[in-house]
Amino acid sequence: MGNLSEIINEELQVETVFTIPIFGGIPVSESVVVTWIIMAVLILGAFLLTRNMKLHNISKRQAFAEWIVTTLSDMVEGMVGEKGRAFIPYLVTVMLYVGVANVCGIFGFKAPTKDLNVTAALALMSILLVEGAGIYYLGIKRWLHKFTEPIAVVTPINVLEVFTRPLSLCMRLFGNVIGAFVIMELIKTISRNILLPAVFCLYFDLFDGLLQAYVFVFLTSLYIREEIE
Amino acid sequence: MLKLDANLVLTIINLLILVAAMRIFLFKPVKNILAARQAEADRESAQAKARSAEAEAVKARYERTLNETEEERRQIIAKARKQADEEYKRIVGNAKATAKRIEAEAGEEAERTKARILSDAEQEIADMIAAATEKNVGEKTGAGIDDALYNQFLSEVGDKKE
Repeated sequence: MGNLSEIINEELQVETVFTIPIFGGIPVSESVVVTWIIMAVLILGAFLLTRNMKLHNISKRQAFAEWIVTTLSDMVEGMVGEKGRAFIPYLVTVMLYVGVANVCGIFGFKAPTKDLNVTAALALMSILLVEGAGIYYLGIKRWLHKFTEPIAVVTPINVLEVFTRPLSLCMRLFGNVIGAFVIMELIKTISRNILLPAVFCLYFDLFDGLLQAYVFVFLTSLYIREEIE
Repeated sequence: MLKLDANLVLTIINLLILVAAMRIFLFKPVKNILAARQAEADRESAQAKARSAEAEAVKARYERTLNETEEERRQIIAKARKQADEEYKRIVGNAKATAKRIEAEAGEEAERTKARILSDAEQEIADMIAAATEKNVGEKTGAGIDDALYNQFLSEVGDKKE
């Protein structure tokens, strides 16, 4: 049992890989390095998929690229609404990133979403986007007025939501990934064969990982839609 | 594990870079190609519509021409029929007039012939009477003359009749 807690502790620790020697040293954690790898994979993948695109007689590669973009864009558009179309590329990118980040544990990487910094950054970006969209589409006056809707009494709660929303986004993602990881480690320890972890891995690592990516984008889209409509 | 540090900022920077890169390498090319395809489809659709309209126009023109031709044909036939009718009436009228004229001429001719025959007969009768009279006057006198004259006249007339 001591072995297990050691493993889990070690896995949960976010190691600093190296330090950038400016401003008194910026520690670069594992999560950031893995994010770079994920970024490289995604960008390279996108570049390879969209090379030599043709109008007719398209290759399977191009068909796949078009399928990814149209399917995910349509899905996100359904959530964020017609007016929020400008946010689709960001939301789809976040979905791809969180999805890959959540399942990259399968390939032996330490999932970046296991680092609170990453989920906090995502949540911070989301809330900045939501409120920014509100200000952009409504104007400051109406945006401020929205806090007093539907009645003035709820204003404190509405103001509080500005903080609780990103917090819940951040913690939901972080908690799910940590929880799934801990449970998987436990199952791996108590299981005598490979079948049990394999089955649970499908759920916790793959399904839950992708589901959380969807949920994160779904909620962000919902907040944006609520804000701009 | 649960501390926030500079990595949060680094992650945000990473995210922004990733979004920008994905826009450039994934969304933009795919959007462009989809837009180009849409434009082509629109263009083809517009062309097809234009062609269809053109065909409709040609069809309408053709039908109009057809109707006009039909009308013209009807007019020509009506005109021809009218002309033929007039011609017929004229010819029949002429024929009738000619027939009437011929009939009248024939009647006159017959009358003339009749009158001539009558006058010829009268002349002949007078000649016969004169001849008979001359003969009998030479041979007999009195009642004998009268009888002889009478008989001769009768026999001559009977010869003529035969």
